[in-house]
Amino acid sequence: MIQAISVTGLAVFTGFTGLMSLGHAAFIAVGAYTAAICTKTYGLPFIAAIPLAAIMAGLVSLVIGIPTLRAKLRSDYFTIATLGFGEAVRVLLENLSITNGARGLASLTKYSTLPRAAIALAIVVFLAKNFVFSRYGRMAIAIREDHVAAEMAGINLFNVRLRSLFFSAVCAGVGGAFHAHYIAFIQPNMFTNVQSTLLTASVVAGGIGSLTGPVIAALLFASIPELLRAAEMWRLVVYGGVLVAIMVLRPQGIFGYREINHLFRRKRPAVVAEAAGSSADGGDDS
Amino acid sequence: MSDYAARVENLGKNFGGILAAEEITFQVREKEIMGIIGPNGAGKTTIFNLMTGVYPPTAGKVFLGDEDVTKLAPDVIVKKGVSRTFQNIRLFKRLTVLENVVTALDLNYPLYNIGEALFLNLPFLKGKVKRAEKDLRDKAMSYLDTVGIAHLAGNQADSLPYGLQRKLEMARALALEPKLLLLDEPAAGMNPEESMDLARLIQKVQKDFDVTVLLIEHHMDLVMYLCHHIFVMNFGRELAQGSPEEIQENPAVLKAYLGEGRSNG
Repeated sequence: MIQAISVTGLAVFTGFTGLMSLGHAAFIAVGAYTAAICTKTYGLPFIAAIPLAAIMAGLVSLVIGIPTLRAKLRSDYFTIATLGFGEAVRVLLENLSITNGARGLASLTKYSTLPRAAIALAIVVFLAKNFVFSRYGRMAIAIREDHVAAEMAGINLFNVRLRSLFFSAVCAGVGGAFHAHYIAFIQPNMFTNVQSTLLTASVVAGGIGSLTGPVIAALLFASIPELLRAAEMWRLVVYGGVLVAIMVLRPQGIFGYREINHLFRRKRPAVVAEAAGSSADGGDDS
Repeated sequence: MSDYAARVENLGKNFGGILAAEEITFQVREKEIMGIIGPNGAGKTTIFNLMTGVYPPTAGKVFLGDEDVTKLAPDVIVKKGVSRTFQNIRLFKRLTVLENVVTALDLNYPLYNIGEALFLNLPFLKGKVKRAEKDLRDKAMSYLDTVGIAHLAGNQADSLPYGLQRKLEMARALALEPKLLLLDEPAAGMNPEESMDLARLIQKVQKDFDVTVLLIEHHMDLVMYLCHHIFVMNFGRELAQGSPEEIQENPAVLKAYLGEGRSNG
């Protein structure tokens, strides 16, 4: 559930802007630490700590976003930059005194209850949905589809990309705030690149260009290791196996480019719906 | 104060030692239709890319009216009133036909801000965003109607046949409300009949929207029929320019197009 909050943000960024980030654990970390310091050191209520965590994560995203996005780094270069950024933030957390270094912050109050997390997730998904189906979402999709054409349609790549990065970092910050107050203990090595990779995996497996897909994937992936706890060491193998199976069977993700409600509601022409999946049917209209 | 919608001066582009364009100078007169022709690889599309800021020139300048726009970014140049289509069609493939045009309308009609977008389902704002989106869709429909594909509005853009995708690109370019419209091989892949239909459409668009048109084309009948002025390129350089009649009789052009002695006939 908590994971899903962060994934929603990343789904907006990766799925609709087309840039891959492997540094999102850094935003979660910033959110987690900000919230933890707020409640533990300054004794603020949890409800006040969440927006602060979100804003802090958002501001940190500008630090990486402004130089990389202004330089219009191509997707793979951008991904490498986020990879380095994620590590840099972790190392920083290990060496600052306010974060208590590598020992982390312990004995936080467990504010993150299931209903609270559910409400937060609902709000985040609601905002994400509004973002995606607005003119901002449309511009982001245009960039994903063809950034040259998007630029020639008067869209400022930098503004749109930065905005969606900021949005996704804010979501990750909220996710981090909940995470810290769920585990009740945070330390820098909880926010490694492995964590970032898992987030990205959820988005890709859930479906690029979809919101509900990644959320469902995140819930699924969070629960699979728990359900398989009985299988001991094999559970992570199964987990990996599920990922591979999804990629082989549905390369576009569980809900690639569609939302769950489209399956029931929107009656798109069948040909169009299938065209996204099979690339080999280009020749039959000539 | 100039009579020119655009002009380029001594424009050059060097791609790592390969001269794609060199010393290109021409003017596009207001409200006329001008053509750029030349064999494949002559550098025609390079000129478009230089004029729209896709990449900066290595030499020379580009003017819109009297304004130097040489170093500006594409989205800024678009705001100054230039829009274009692409030789290798560049649509937003997974958006619908209608959404492709709506996306372009955003430039001149940013009808709501991000706060309203995020909280748009709250009762007191819902009306505004919904109405704005509806206005945009109606406006977009009128552009689709102009190029004759309004009935396909709900289809996914890449499901359209090739020729209609080109028309959609034109609708999208028009939705940016340009003063200067650049068309890169609008009739590519069309038979003579279709390309003459397109020629009439371009004429109509030029008149109805009061734009200046600069187009790259290989269909000579279309070019000769439409253009008031033609610029011929070969190997990145100017070969000739003038009226259609002058071009048709220009020995250098004939040589470039037909080969010496027509041995390959």
